[in-house]
Amino acid sequence: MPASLLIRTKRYKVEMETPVKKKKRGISPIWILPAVALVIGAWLLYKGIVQRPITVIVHFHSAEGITAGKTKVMYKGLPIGYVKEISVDKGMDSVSVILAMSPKTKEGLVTDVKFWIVRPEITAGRISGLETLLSGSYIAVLPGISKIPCREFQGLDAPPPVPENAPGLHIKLRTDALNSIQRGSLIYYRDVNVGSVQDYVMENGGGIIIDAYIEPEYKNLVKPGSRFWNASGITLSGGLSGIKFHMESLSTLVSGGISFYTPETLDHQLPAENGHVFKLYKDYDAAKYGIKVLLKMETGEDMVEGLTKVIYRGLEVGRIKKVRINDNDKKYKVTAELLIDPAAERILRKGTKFWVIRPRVGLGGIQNIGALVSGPYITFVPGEGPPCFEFKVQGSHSKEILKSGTFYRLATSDLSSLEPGAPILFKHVRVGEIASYRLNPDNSVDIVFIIYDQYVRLINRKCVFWNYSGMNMEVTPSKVEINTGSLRSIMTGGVAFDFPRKLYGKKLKPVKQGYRFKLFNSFDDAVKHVPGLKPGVTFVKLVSKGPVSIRDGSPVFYKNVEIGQITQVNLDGKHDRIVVTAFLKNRFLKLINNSTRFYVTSGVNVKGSIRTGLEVQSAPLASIMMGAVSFMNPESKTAGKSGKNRGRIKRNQTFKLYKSLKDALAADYVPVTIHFPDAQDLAVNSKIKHHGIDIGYVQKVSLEKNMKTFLVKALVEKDAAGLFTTGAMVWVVKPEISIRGIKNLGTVVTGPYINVQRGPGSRTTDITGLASPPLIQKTLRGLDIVVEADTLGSLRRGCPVYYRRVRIGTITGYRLAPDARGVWIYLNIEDRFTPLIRKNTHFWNASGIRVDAGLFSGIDVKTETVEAIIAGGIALATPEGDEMGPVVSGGHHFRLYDQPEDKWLKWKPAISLKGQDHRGYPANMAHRPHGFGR
Amino acid sequence: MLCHDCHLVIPEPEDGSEAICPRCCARVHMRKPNSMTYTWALVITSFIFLFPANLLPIMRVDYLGSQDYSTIMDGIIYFFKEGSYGIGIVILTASVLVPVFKIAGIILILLSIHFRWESWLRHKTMMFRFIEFIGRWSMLDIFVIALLTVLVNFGFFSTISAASAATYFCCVVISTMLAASTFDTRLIWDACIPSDQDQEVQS
Repeated sequence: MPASLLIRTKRYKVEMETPVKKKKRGISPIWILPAVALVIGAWLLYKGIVQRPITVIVHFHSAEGITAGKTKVMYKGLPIGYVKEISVDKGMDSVSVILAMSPKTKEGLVTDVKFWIVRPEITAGRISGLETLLSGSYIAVLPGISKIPCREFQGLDAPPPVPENAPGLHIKLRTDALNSIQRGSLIYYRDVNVGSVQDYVMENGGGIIIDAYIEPEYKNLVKPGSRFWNASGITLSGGLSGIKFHMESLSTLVSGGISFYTPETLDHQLPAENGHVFKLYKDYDAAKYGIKVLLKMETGEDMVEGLTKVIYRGLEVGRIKKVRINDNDKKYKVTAELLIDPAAERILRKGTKFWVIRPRVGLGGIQNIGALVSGPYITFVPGEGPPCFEFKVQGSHSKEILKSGTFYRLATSDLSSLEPGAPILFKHVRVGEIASYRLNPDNSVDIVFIIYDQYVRLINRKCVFWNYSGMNMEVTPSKVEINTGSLRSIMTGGVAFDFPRKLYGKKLKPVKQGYRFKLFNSFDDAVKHVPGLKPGVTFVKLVSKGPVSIRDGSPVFYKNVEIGQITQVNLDGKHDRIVVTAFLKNRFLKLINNSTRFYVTSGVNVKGSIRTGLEVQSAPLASIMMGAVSFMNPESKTAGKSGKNRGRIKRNQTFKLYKSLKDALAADYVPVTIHFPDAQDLAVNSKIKHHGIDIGYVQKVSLEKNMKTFLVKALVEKDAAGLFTTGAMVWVVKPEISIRGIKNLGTVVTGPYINVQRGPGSRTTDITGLASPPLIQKTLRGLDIVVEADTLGSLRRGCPVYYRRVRIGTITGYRLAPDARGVWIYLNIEDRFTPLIRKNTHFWNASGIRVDAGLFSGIDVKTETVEAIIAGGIALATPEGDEMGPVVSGGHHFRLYDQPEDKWLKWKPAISLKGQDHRGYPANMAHRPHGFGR
Repeated sequence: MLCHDCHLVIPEPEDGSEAICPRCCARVHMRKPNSMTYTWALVITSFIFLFPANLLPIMRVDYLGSQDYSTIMDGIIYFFKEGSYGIGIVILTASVLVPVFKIAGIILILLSIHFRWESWLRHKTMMFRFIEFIGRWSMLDIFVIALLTVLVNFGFFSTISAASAATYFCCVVISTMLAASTFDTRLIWDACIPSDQDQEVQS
């Protein structure tokens, strides 16, 4: 060690300071810690000792759901202990559950403390202890009232009933069947839980006594007169008149329950005493309170205990409680026990009459339809006399008339479905009712009815009564409208009345009581007799000989506007005509005059031809469905002939009713008779035409007496009747199909028609028709000439005549020359082109193709138009200048050459045509149709 | 004597009263003052608290409305029953054996000092070192409860909260740790100092 270090050490040693001294204190404060720990420990120990659980042994039949150390002992929802240990008793028939009870319960653990295990319980009738599903079962405690401490108990299997001496009301309910009531079922008063079923025992007699407990606060609700009923389940009752659904609270549905109520009349009673025995009724209805009344009846049919009601003026005042056979009485074998509402007590007098209302279903209607649903019921009329509680059911009884009024009578031949009680209606307002009816010695029926006081003013001598069916159905294609009175009036019928509208508001002379009115069968019937009931309309009669497809209610249309209606379709007195009664609204009346023709419209009208297309005309759907009547006014020139026809029509004026519009139009047609050698497919309605215009139609086709010819009866327009002369030609036009074309194609669709061609001679209505179309048909205009040919060739009627390949005419016919040396071909040259035909005009056959072929000349093909190639034709040429010669007159004969000479083709005569169309159109086009077809 | 703060060497007071460093005013002592007293007091405290900590429930489990208290032993037994022996052993060790071992060990050392037992001194020192080391693990139970309390908090369905024993258990752990820290290991070896010297040291 170096010396310096030693020295330094020494120096320090020398200089070492002395520490500051501090006095040592006594006991260290650290000891506070264990002291505190001790205090805490001691306190915990003390607490542990003081709060040491009290051990209690409870014997249960089963410890199911109990877990040692876990299961708690609960009292009012608070844990007051737990299961410490579970062990089986020596006898193996029960288990001992050792409970550690809170020391606070020390005082409470007395001999009559009850323990039971609360487990979740779900049965059909009851769910309880639901909370234990989660928390596990627990042991519930009911404190005792004894003073003797006890540490060993017998556990109960079920919750104990409320002890007899507990505050509240203990009552007993006697019942025949327990139904779903069980221990714990609740007791309700106005759906408030006021108590519960404690227990039930079988009586010796077989009845069941239920112990019920009512909580103290509701104790006063139970009166000796209170009625208890089993409120379990659902009551469903009802029918057409309504469904009654009665259900107590849902819990009663599950666990059963009892309800009670106290009749108001018994409300003043003192509260019931403990131990009072009540009857437990089966259900709410059975529990109803009432006065017992005995009703003797001949038959107990339809009388249902507890269901059949006693109804007084629509109100239920009681029910049948019991029906039993009564042997004492010969006639009244059945006795029904009624329970009448005490409020109706004063009605029960000696004179009161009871009877049964049953539904009646018959062809005449349904009566008392309410009873059909709810079952027959009992009703009564209060009478006078001392109070009485035993009655006999009367036979049928007329319905009581509840309102006062004045009585009148109705005379009718038939009661129809009218019954006492059926309403008297005025504009659907019930103003009275039928009181009774009586069969008179002369077999007519007198109906007595009453008009209520406030409506008596409506009755006057002009009143018209009719039987009112109550339902008025109007079906139109656009809607279905059903007007009904009340359901009752449909069922029971009724009588309606009205009086002419013009009397409305006027002071009418009243009718004295008992006046006899006539009863009409229907409103229409009444209207017929008293038209004033239907204002603003005028009635007319339409007469038809044949059957018509219209009926009551069919509309009358004019231009598809409904202006009236058919009210009646009837046969007239001689049964050979149909008389239709119709009314027309007055504002349309000016459309109708004396010459108006009414006809039945046939819904759909189809018109058509190949040329015009198909035209379908449909009347309003209503007329298709129900048939309708329409009318038309003929041309004014007809009507105008006599000025008086223009006047207004009279009421009930008679018109002829035509079967159809055609018949109506044809009303002034002239009949014509045509004899045909062949019927030629003619049929009724085949048309008669003149130059394509309809002038009439066939009415009838029949075989004549000679059995060879046919008689065609036709109607033609008056104006066209002049066509039928002795020289007129009549033939049938039919479709013709040949290589040269189809002719009269239109008739394929429309059928053949009769063509009339004017002829000379005097007018006639009996004419003989041609078997086939005439070879030479007269044309209206133009020049008719004849060309003479050696053979007809391919020329036929309708073939064209060309000038410079312009069609100027048509072949109208042909025939052999009278000497048979040639054929005369008739041509018609159109009017405008007649100047072309001159005396020296040359005609040649332009049919076909002419081919000249030579070795050096080549092939020369000459044709007229294509039409001419196929159908044949005639061409013509007129020389120039003076060579042409004068204009020819009709019927001039020319020669027809086979072929033209070349020079003819070079002729170019200047000839001015008639009425040349300077607009440049080929004028003959417009006339072309005339050239074809006939 | 050496001042621990400024390392000034000062003479030992003759009368054994407490010395204060004249330079830095720190307390200067040969051994931790009152080490034995403090340690004894703390050990006794922890011993007292050991009982409520183990007997009272440490954890409350609310499961669907039903309360369930469990003590530390309940938990251990539960784990053993469930077959989780590892966790059971860990909890048993950390929560029961360690505190008991600590208290017992410290008491043994204190007694050996008190009665001047000279044997096994080195072992005792090593044991004390082990006790100090293991002290930090003895809060395991509290951590578990604290974690569970936070994690299992589903309102009505399931809630875990600490019960009264947790407090006492904390007290046990804290006081044992304090006891370990207040103890001066040198005291163990003072037993080897001859009686006169020892007298000197003690005074």
